[in-house]
Amino acid sequence: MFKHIFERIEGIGQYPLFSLLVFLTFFIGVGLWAYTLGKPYVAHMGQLPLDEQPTNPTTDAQPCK
Amino acid sequence: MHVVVSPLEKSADNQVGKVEQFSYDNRVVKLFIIATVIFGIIGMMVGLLAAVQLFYPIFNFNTAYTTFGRIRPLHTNAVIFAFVGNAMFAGVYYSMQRLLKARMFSDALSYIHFWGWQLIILAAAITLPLGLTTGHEYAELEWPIDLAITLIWVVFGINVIGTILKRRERHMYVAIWFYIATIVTVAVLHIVNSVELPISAFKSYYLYAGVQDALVQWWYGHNAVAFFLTTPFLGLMYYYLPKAAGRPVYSYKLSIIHFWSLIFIYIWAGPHHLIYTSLPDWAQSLGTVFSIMLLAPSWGGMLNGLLTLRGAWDKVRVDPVLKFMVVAVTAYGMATFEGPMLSLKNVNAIAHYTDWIIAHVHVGGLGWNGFLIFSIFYWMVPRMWKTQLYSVRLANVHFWLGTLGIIVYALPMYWAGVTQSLMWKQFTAEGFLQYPNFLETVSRLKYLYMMRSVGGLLFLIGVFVMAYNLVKTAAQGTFMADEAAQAPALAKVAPTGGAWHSALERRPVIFTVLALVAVLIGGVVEMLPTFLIKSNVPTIASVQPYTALELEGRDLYQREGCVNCHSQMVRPFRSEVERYGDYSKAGEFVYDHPFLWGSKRTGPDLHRLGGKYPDSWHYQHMLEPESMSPGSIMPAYPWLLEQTWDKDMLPKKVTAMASFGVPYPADYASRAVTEANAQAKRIADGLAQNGVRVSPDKEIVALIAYLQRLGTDIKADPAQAEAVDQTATVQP
Repeated sequence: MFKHIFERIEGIGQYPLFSLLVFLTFFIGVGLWAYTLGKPYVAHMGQLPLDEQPTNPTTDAQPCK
Repeated sequence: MHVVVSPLEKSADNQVGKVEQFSYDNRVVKLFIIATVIFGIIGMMVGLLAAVQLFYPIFNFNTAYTTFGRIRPLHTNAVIFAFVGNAMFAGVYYSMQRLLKARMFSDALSYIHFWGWQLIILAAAITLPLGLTTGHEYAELEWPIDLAITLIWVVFGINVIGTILKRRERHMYVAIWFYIATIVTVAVLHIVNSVELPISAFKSYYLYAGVQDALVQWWYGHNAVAFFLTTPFLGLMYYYLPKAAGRPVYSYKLSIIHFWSLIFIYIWAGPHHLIYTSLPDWAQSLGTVFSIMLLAPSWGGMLNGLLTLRGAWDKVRVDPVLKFMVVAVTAYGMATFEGPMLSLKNVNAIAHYTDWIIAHVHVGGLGWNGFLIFSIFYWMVPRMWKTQLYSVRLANVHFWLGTLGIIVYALPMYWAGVTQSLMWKQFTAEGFLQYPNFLETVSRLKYLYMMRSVGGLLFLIGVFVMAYNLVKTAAQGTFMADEAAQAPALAKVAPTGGAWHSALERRPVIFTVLALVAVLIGGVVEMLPTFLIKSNVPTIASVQPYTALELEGRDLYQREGCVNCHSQMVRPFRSEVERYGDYSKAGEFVYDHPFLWGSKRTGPDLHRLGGKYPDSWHYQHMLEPESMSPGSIMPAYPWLLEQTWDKDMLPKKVTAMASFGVPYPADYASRAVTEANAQAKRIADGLAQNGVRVSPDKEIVALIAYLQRLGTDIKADPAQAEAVDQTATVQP
């Protein structure tokens, strides 16, 4: 089936243009999604690596929340 | 003991469950750290040996097992899969447990993963010097080891996904996303690039041939860099950099865009490794366009890393962990800027096949991977052993040795790359090549190769210093094999909780599927047309399958790793056509399982070698290269004159090729040995007339048969070859 579809494409040179469009759509979608994320969620996510009990109080300057 | 409950966790959507006691498994992290340091040292020592071989060929030691062609893949496999691979697993196992507030899914799987991976490395260390290689760069290991890699990778995947499913933190931090993308994509890459037909316990042929094989291999090779050397390390950066800096990542939103755009675009850019080759033009352009676009997410990620240090730069001055990280992230920025530039046709025309590429990969390998590994080890080891780093001063010494090492390595290689490329392309006023003898361009580089090895040595000494420092740190502390922790369980979400809850709970699975779709789109668009549309690889009537003896010779060429120094791809440039002969056409490679185009010209291109020299020249040249080319840095191959070629396997090899569609006559397999013997006798008789006595069953005879066949088919009917291949025009 794929073979049939691909053989009917005229001007395979259009592939880069098609690729660019696919990517732009994807990129804009992800950008919009990221833009609309709520502040508490983003703050929480950014804090995740730091939300740990320090295992070595003598060298770990990061206090627990 | 401290329980962390964020405001989000307390919200209505995330009810807090009962506090649970558990522990993190540090033992498996420790094992991976030890393996990293040991294999790092071994892999870099092998690299140093290979570097020295290029200016003192005597260090090939005149034995088959230690020649450059076999040592170089040993070096690349050791540093990529043993050094970087083990470090990746150490970093992932440590960070993942803490980010998900859960012990790894299964201790048994963790240790099967660890020991399985080390056995694979051991198998590689034995088979590569023995010359057991598939011929695909960075995927040289033969099919039984490929199967083992698949198995162990699945074990790793189950362990990671299992941990995600039993996590106590509802949300998956961006580092976990990068780990998931790594696991899924490496699995796809490895499987697609390992479609081989085994013909014996340690010999197989790739299903794909020529242009298609090249496209698959560089789709793999490019994305192995992306998903083995980059995405897991970006995940590690997003975990350890905020930890070391003591502040959250600069922009979490940017990290989301970084992740999705990076994994989506990276996969499309593979063909930029094949610019100006016989790959169809549209595929080359596709690779270039996406390489340029790749700059955006790469630099977005780099800036996100560096900006995380805003207001904390005073710490960088005193904390070796941050020093290493800053250089690592900067090296990532440099390498990811250089990559897209190298994909531009005009830059690629100069840089490809030269030492420029060696400089490029080492800025990435030593700077980005190496320095990030060192930084996270300096961070993890004191914490796992409940102590402080033994010596900050020694860590600083390591930092400067490493930094100087990278500079002293990279600069001479850039210089060498540009020098050699310009010499290859230089014409005299009369229109002749200024340096017609390839060797002239090699001799010019010897001192640069010496400087490079000094850079490598400095870097290696730094690793020894780190090893000492880490051992002393461990010795003064107490190892916490099981680190106690506690966190509230994730509240169970009732099935009636609504679509939003349901979607959230399923997120890891949905996420994994989405990541897979994102990486597959690029692969499909890139490869399917080349496989399905015949016009992409125009057939040339005069191109015939290899004879049985030539096929055997080709396997010897592959075994000796000739592809590591010699390309088989004359690009459509005036300078190359003048030096080597007619440029290579896609249709000439249709029977090449695997393709052997190569990626570096330490020696000259060999695609038009056939008929250029008499058989006796090749005989003497393989026995003692300097006798034919004074000043040559090529190793000698005296064992080819003593060992006999494998007659037992020959019918199987022909049958395998025929099963791929290579048009051998129906009874050719049964008479393969007879035919090969006859051709070998003709070559041996010819040699005898020139005073060289050799038995026809020696390997050298098969190799000569192959070398003399190279690139000769289209000479039978050049006009026809030109007519079917309009993909390129010779450029100045």
